[in-house]
Amino acid sequence: MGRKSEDLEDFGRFAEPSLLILISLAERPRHGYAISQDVEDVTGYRPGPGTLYGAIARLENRGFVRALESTGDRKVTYELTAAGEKALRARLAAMASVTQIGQQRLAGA
Amino acid sequence: MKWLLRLYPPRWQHRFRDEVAAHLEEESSWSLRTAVDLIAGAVDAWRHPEWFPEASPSTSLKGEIMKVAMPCCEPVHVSREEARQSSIEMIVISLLLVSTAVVLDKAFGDSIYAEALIYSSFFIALTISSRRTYFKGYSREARNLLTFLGAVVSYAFFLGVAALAVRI
Repeated sequence: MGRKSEDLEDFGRFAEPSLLILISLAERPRHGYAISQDVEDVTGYRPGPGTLYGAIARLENRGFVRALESTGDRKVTYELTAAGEKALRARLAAMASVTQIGQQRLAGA
Repeated sequence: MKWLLRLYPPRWQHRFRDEVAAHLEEESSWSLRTAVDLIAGAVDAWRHPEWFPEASPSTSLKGEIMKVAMPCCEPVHVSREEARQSSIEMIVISLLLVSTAVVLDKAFGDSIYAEALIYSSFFIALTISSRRTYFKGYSREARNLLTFLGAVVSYAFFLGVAALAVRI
Protein backbone atom coordinates (compact mmCIF):
# COMPACT_ATOMS: atom_id res chain seq x y z
CA MET A 1 0.00 0.00 0.00
CA GLY A 2 1.63 3.21 -1.12
CA ARG A 3 1.60 6.47 0.76
CA LYS A 4 -1.48 8.51 0.14
CA SER A 5 -0.91 11.44 -2.16
CA GLU A 6 -1.20 14.91 -0.65
CA ASP A 7 -2.45 16.41 -3.90
CA LEU A 8 -5.32 15.90 -6.33
CA GLU A 9 -3.01 14.51 -8.98
CA ASP A 10 -4.58 11.04 -9.17
CA PHE A 11 -8.19 12.25 -9.15
CA GLY A 12 -8.37 12.13 -12.96
CA ARG A 13 -11.39 13.98 -14.34
CA PHE A 14 -12.45 14.73 -10.76
CA ALA A 15 -9.38 16.90 -10.06
CA GLU A 16 -10.90 20.18 -11.22
CA PRO A 17 -14.31 19.70 -9.55
CA SER A 18 -12.44 18.65 -6.39
CA LEU A 19 -10.43 21.85 -6.44
CA LEU A 20 -13.63 23.88 -6.79
CA ILE A 21 -15.20 21.98 -3.88
CA LEU A 22 -12.18 22.73 -1.69
CA ILE A 23 -12.42 26.41 -2.63
CA SER A 24 -16.12 26.40 -1.72
CA LEU A 25 -15.50 24.74 1.64
CA ALA A 26 -12.62 27.12 2.38
CA GLU A 27 -15.27 29.75 3.03
CA ARG A 28 -17.47 27.65 5.32
CA PRO A 29 -18.89 24.13 5.69
CA ARG A 30 -21.58 23.32 3.13
CA HIS A 31 -23.72 20.38 2.04
CA GLY A 32 -23.59 18.99 -1.48
CA TYR A 33 -26.34 21.07 -3.02
CA ALA A 34 -24.96 24.27 -1.48
CA ILE A 35 -21.49 23.39 -2.81
CA SER A 36 -22.82 22.99 -6.36
CA GLN A 37 -24.66 26.31 -6.09
CA ASP A 38 -21.57 28.07 -4.77
CA VAL A 39 -19.37 26.59 -7.49
CA GLU A 40 -21.88 27.78 -10.10
CA ASP A 41 -21.95 31.26 -8.58
CA VAL A 42 -18.16 31.49 -8.66
CA THR A 43 -17.36 29.83 -11.97
CA GLY A 44 -20.59 29.61 -13.96
CA TYR A 45 -20.11 25.85 -14.11
CA ARG A 46 -22.49 23.66 -12.11
CA PRO A 47 -21.08 20.19 -11.41
CA GLY A 48 -23.63 17.41 -11.93
CA PRO A 49 -24.43 15.16 -8.96
CA GLY A 50 -22.45 12.23 -10.38
CA THR A 51 -19.36 14.39 -10.67
CA LEU A 52 -19.94 16.22 -7.40
CA TYR A 53 -20.26 13.13 -5.21
CA GLY A 54 -17.52 11.28 -7.09
CA ALA A 55 -15.24 14.18 -6.21
CA ILE A 56 -16.50 14.37 -2.61
CA ALA A 57 -15.84 10.62 -2.18
CA ARG A 58 -12.26 11.12 -3.34
CA LEU A 59 -11.71 14.15 -1.13
CA GLU A 60 -13.18 12.33 1.87
CA ASN A 61 -11.13 9.21 1.15
CA ARG A 62 -7.98 11.31 0.99
CA GLY A 63 -8.89 13.13 4.22
CA PHE A 64 -9.22 16.55 2.56
CA VAL A 65 -12.83 17.01 3.64
CA ARG A 66 -14.79 15.63 6.57
CA ALA A 67 -18.52 14.87 6.79
CA LEU A 68 -20.19 16.47 9.77
CA GLU A 69 -23.25 15.01 11.50
CA SER A 70 -26.27 14.72 9.24
CA THR A 71 -29.01 17.21 10.09
CA GLY A 72 -31.71 14.56 9.80
CA ASP A 73 -32.94 15.80 6.42
CA ARG A 74 -30.50 13.41 4.66
CA LYS A 75 -28.19 16.32 3.82
CA VAL A 76 -24.61 15.90 4.91
CA THR A 77 -22.49 18.95 5.58
CA TYR A 78 -18.81 18.85 4.71
CA GLU A 79 -15.96 20.86 6.10
CA LEU A 80 -12.39 21.40 4.99
CA THR A 81 -9.74 19.55 7.03
CA ALA A 82 -6.21 20.75 7.77
CA ALA A 83 -4.90 18.36 5.11
CA GLY A 84 -7.46 19.74 2.65
CA GLU A 85 -6.43 23.30 3.40
CA LYS A 86 -2.79 22.39 2.86
CA ALA A 87 -3.56 20.68 -0.45
CA LEU A 88 -5.67 23.65 -1.56
CA ARG A 89 -2.93 26.14 -0.69
CA ALA A 90 -0.36 24.06 -2.58
CA ARG A 91 -2.55 23.75 -5.65
CA LEU A 92 -3.44 27.46 -5.69
CA ALA A 93 0.21 28.42 -5.28
CA ALA A 94 1.15 26.21 -8.24
CA MET A 95 -1.64 27.73 -10.31
CA ALA A 96 -0.60 31.26 -9.33
CA SER A 97 2.95 30.51 -10.40
CA VAL A 98 1.83 29.21 -13.79
CA THR A 99 -0.55 32.16 -14.19
CA GLN A 100 2.25 34.62 -13.44
CA ILE A 101 4.55 33.01 -16.01
CA GLY A 102 1.76 33.06 -18.57
CA GLN A 103 1.03 36.74 -17.91
CA GLN A 104 4.73 37.64 -18.18
CA ARG A 105 5.06 35.84 -21.50
CA LEU A 106 1.95 37.49 -22.84
CA ALA A 107 3.29 40.89 -21.76
CA GLY A 108 6.55 40.20 -23.60
CA ALA A 109 4.84 38.96 -26.74
CA MET B 1 -34.88 10.27 -12.25
CA LYS B 2 -33.74 9.09 -8.83
CA TRP B 3 -34.00 5.56 -10.22
CA LEU B 4 -30.64 6.21 -11.89
CA LEU B 5 -29.08 5.90 -8.43
CA ARG B 6 -29.86 2.18 -8.63
CA LEU B 7 -27.11 1.97 -11.24
CA TYR B 8 -24.51 2.64 -8.56
CA PRO B 9 -22.69 -0.15 -6.68
CA PRO B 10 -23.86 -1.16 -3.19
CA ARG B 11 -21.03 0.50 -1.31
CA TRP B 12 -21.69 3.83 -3.07
CA GLN B 13 -25.41 3.54 -2.36
CA HIS B 14 -24.74 2.74 1.27
CA ARG B 15 -22.75 5.95 1.65
CA PHE B 16 -24.36 8.45 -0.73
CA ARG B 17 -27.77 7.29 -1.93
CA ASP B 18 -29.95 9.16 0.59
CA GLU B 19 -27.78 12.24 0.39
CA VAL B 20 -27.82 12.40 -3.41
CA ALA B 21 -31.56 11.65 -3.48
CA ALA B 22 -32.09 14.69 -1.22
CA HIS B 23 -29.81 16.71 -3.50
CA LEU B 24 -31.79 15.69 -6.58
CA GLU B 25 -35.06 16.69 -4.91
CA GLU B 26 -33.67 20.20 -4.56
CA GLU B 27 -32.71 20.50 -8.21
CA SER B 28 -35.30 22.76 -9.83
CA SER B 29 -35.23 21.05 -13.19
CA TRP B 30 -34.00 17.93 -14.85
CA SER B 31 -31.79 17.86 -17.85
CA LEU B 32 -30.18 15.32 -20.11
CA ARG B 33 -26.86 16.61 -18.86
CA THR B 34 -27.75 15.64 -15.27
CA ALA B 35 -28.82 12.15 -16.37
CA VAL B 36 -25.63 11.64 -18.38
CA ASP B 37 -23.57 12.90 -15.46
CA LEU B 38 -25.27 10.44 -13.10
CA ILE B 39 -24.65 7.55 -15.50
CA ALA B 40 -21.00 8.56 -15.93
CA GLY B 41 -20.73 8.75 -12.13
CA ALA B 42 -22.15 5.23 -11.83
CA VAL B 43 -19.63 3.89 -14.34
CA ASP B 44 -16.85 5.57 -12.38
CA ALA B 45 -18.13 4.16 -9.07
CA TRP B 46 -18.11 0.61 -10.49
CA ARG B 47 -14.65 1.10 -12.02
CA HIS B 48 -13.10 2.64 -8.92
CA PRO B 49 -14.66 1.08 -5.81
CA GLU B 50 -11.49 1.87 -3.86
CA TRP B 51 -12.64 5.47 -3.42
CA PHE B 52 -15.83 4.48 -1.64
CA PRO B 53 -16.03 3.17 1.92
CA GLU B 54 -17.11 -0.43 2.38
CA ALA B 55 -20.67 -0.89 3.57
CA SER B 56 -21.03 -1.89 7.20
CA PRO B 57 -22.63 -5.30 7.87
CA SER B 58 -26.39 -5.12 7.46
CA THR B 59 -28.79 -7.01 9.66
CA SER B 60 -31.95 -6.39 7.64
CA LEU B 61 -33.44 -9.03 5.36
CA LYS B 62 -32.98 -6.72 2.38
CA GLY B 63 -29.38 -6.20 3.41
CA GLU B 64 -28.77 -9.92 3.62
CA ILE B 65 -30.33 -10.45 0.19
CA MET B 66 -28.25 -7.63 -1.27
CA LYS B 67 -25.13 -9.09 0.27
CA VAL B 68 -25.81 -12.39 -1.50
CA ALA B 69 -26.97 -10.87 -4.77
CA MET B 70 -24.59 -8.00 -5.41
CA PRO B 71 -20.97 -9.11 -4.89
CA CYS B 72 -21.04 -11.02 -8.19
CA CYS B 73 -21.27 -7.65 -9.90
CA GLU B 74 -18.87 -5.72 -7.72
CA PRO B 75 -15.12 -5.94 -8.31
CA VAL B 76 -13.45 -7.62 -5.35
CA HIS B 77 -9.72 -7.38 -4.87
CA VAL B 78 -8.01 -10.78 -5.04
CA SER B 79 -4.39 -10.88 -3.99
CA ARG B 80 -1.79 -12.85 -5.92
CA GLU B 81 -1.43 -15.23 -2.96
CA GLU B 82 -5.18 -15.90 -2.89
CA ALA B 83 -5.19 -16.56 -6.63
CA ARG B 84 -2.26 -18.96 -6.21
CA GLN B 85 -3.94 -20.83 -3.36
CA SER B 86 -7.17 -21.01 -5.34
CA SER B 87 -5.38 -22.53 -8.35
CA ILE B 88 -3.61 -25.11 -6.21
CA GLU B 89 -6.89 -25.96 -4.48
CA MET B 90 -8.64 -26.42 -7.81
CA ILE B 91 -5.97 -28.74 -9.19
CA VAL B 92 -5.71 -30.86 -6.02
CA ILE B 93 -9.49 -31.21 -5.63
CA SER B 94 -9.91 -32.07 -9.33
CA LEU B 95 -7.27 -34.80 -9.05
CA LEU B 96 -8.79 -36.17 -5.84
CA LEU B 97 -12.30 -36.28 -7.30
CA VAL B 98 -11.22 -37.88 -10.58
CA SER B 99 -9.13 -40.45 -8.67
CA THR B 100 -12.08 -41.23 -6.41
CA ALA B 101 -14.37 -41.58 -9.40
CA VAL B 102 -11.96 -43.92 -11.18
CA VAL B 103 -11.71 -46.11 -8.07
CA LEU B 104 -15.51 -46.16 -7.70
CA ASP B 105 -15.91 -46.97 -11.37
CA LYS B 106 -13.56 -49.95 -11.05
CA ALA B 107 -15.13 -51.10 -7.80
CA PHE B 108 -18.75 -50.98 -8.92
CA GLY B 109 -18.45 -51.56 -12.64
CA ASP B 110 -19.73 -49.04 -15.18
CA SER B 111 -21.53 -46.67 -12.89
CA ILE B 112 -23.21 -43.50 -14.07
CA TYR B 113 -22.57 -42.05 -10.59
CA ALA B 114 -18.82 -42.46 -10.97
CA GLU B 115 -18.97 -41.24 -14.56
CA ALA B 116 -20.86 -38.12 -13.49
CA LEU B 117 -18.25 -37.51 -10.80
CA ILE B 118 -15.45 -37.63 -13.37
CA TYR B 119 -17.15 -35.13 -15.64
CA SER B 120 -18.22 -32.80 -12.86
CA SER B 121 -14.95 -32.92 -10.91
CA PHE B 122 -13.50 -29.85 -12.61
CA PHE B 123 -16.64 -27.78 -12.02
CA ILE B 124 -16.92 -28.90 -8.40
CA ALA B 125 -13.26 -28.04 -7.84
CA LEU B 126 -13.75 -24.68 -9.56
CA THR B 127 -16.74 -23.93 -7.33
CA ILE B 128 -14.85 -24.83 -4.15
CA SER B 129 -11.72 -22.91 -5.13
CA SER B 130 -13.85 -19.85 -6.02
CA ARG B 131 -14.33 -19.27 -2.29
CA ARG B 132 -11.03 -17.39 -2.38
CA THR B 133 -11.72 -15.47 -5.60
CA TYR B 134 -15.15 -14.98 -7.22
CA PHE B 135 -17.07 -15.60 -3.99
CA LYS B 136 -14.70 -13.58 -1.84
CA GLY B 137 -17.10 -10.68 -1.46
CA TYR B 138 -19.83 -12.86 0.03
CA SER B 139 -20.40 -13.63 3.70
CA ARG B 140 -19.07 -16.93 5.03
CA GLU B 141 -22.57 -18.46 5.12
CA ALA B 142 -23.28 -17.34 1.56
CA ARG B 143 -19.94 -18.78 0.37
CA ASN B 144 -20.77 -22.13 1.99
CA LEU B 145 -24.22 -22.14 0.40
CA LEU B 146 -22.89 -21.20 -3.04
CA THR B 147 -20.17 -23.83 -2.86
CA PHE B 148 -22.62 -26.53 -1.82
CA LEU B 149 -25.19 -25.56 -4.47
CA GLY B 150 -22.53 -25.24 -7.16
CA ALA B 151 -21.18 -28.71 -6.41
CA VAL B 152 -24.63 -30.31 -6.22
CA VAL B 153 -25.87 -28.64 -9.41
CA SER B 154 -22.70 -29.61 -11.32
CA TYR B 155 -22.92 -33.23 -10.20
CA ALA B 156 -26.70 -33.42 -10.80
CA PHE B 157 -26.28 -31.99 -14.29
CA PHE B 158 -23.68 -34.55 -15.36
CA LEU B 159 -25.58 -37.35 -13.63
CA GLY B 160 -28.58 -36.42 -15.76
CA VAL B 161 -26.44 -36.34 -18.90
CA ALA B 162 -24.92 -39.73 -18.04
CA ALA B 163 -28.37 -41.21 -17.38
CA LEU B 164 -29.63 -39.89 -20.71
CA ALA B 165 -26.57 -41.22 -22.51
CA VAL B 166 -27.21 -44.70 -21.13
CA ARG B 167 -30.79 -44.67 -22.46
CA ILE B 168 -29.67 -43.48 -25.90
